[in-house]
Amino acid sequence: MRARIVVGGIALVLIVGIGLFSLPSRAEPVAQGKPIVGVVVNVGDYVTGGEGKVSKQEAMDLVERGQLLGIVAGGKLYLVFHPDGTYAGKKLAKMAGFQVGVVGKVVRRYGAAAIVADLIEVIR
Amino acid sequence: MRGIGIFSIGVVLALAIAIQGCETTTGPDQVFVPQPPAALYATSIDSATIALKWDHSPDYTAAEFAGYRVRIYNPGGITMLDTLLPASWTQVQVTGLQEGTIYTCEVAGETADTIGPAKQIQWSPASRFVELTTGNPIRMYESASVFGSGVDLYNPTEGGPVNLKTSSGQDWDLGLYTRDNKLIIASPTLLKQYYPKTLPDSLRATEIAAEVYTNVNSLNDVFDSEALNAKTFAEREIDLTQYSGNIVLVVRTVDNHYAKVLVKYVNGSFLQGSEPHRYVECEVSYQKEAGVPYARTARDNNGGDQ
Repeated sequence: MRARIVVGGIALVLIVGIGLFSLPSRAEPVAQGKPIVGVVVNVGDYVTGGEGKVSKQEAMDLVERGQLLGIVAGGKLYLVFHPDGTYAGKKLAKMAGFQVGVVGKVVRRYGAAAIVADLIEVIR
Repeated sequence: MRGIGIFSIGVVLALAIAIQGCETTTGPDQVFVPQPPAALYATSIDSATIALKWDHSPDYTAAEFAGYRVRIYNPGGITMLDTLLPASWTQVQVTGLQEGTIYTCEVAGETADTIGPAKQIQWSPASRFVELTTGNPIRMYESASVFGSGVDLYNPTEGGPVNLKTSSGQDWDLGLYTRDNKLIIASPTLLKQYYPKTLPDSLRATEIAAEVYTNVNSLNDVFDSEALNAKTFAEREIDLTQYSGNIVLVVRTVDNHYAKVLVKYVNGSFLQGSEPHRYVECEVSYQKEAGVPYARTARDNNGGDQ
């Protein structure tokens, strides 16, 4: 049952994620250079009510299995993409367990948010 | 009769000494003994590989000169490598070695029937890092950035370099300061004056060698002919504005690990990226074994010149 929910959750996030980038981009203004600071989460767990917390190894395993990672900052979930539109999950995985700062452009659609990241770095 | 015998031995000894002292002399009854390379240098490529480089033997164009005999011995005297390289060669990389082990490396000229005296150097492989443990390039961010302005060159728990903010400055080996038109890489203890409120009181007294390598494309370009502890180490500020190309710093950490740090100069600047998160990018060759390979002697605290 839980597996179905997780798969459903991932599918939902994927659909929203695809939607975010297939529609004309409406970037939300963000303070110049101010990073969004949060922690890496397992999106599937987070959207199904869990905390989503993952260690570096767990995060790398998840990415290896094709599952989604995101950033939760101020109670909001963000998917993170590189400027070329590719998903930044592998990069996030190596930063799991630490506070992570992402500098870039925030894009919102239907309540879901993504960051097109110019810079992703651990802050410690 | 007995006097003639002693005289004969004396003549033979004198001849032998004459031949020994005249290495490149050739004649009908004399053996051509090639001179060693004019100089021998070494560097670490990675945790299993060292590179040797030498200046040609004065005899390398001689007809008898067959090539360079390269031998590498482990500390127990076991031969790890024994090979003849072509006379035109002046560089070789040797792999399959172990970080922290001090190897004795010899290069000698060789003819068809003689190996000449060798130049010798001791060296050890060292780990090479081009990324932080997070997978990002090794960076120190400008002072105004929320990202770290310092680096711990090797965090044993994570197995590589980590970027750290001033609030974690107790673990910095090197730090960057960029305010007030300055562009300085320095020992953390010296950076305390620039970050008086944010750097902790307990800081590492990292030492940097007086000699800064310039005109280098990569760490592989930086060879040494002697142990790194022969250099003059002190806590220093390196003013990057004085340089207009890549530089390599030789660093001795507070726990006596030696490292070489390549500071990249890209498109006319050490600072890359966009404000307020510009950064200086580095590559690191780090010897994980304290005091190796460059010195088994105790840490020299009298070598500073500043």
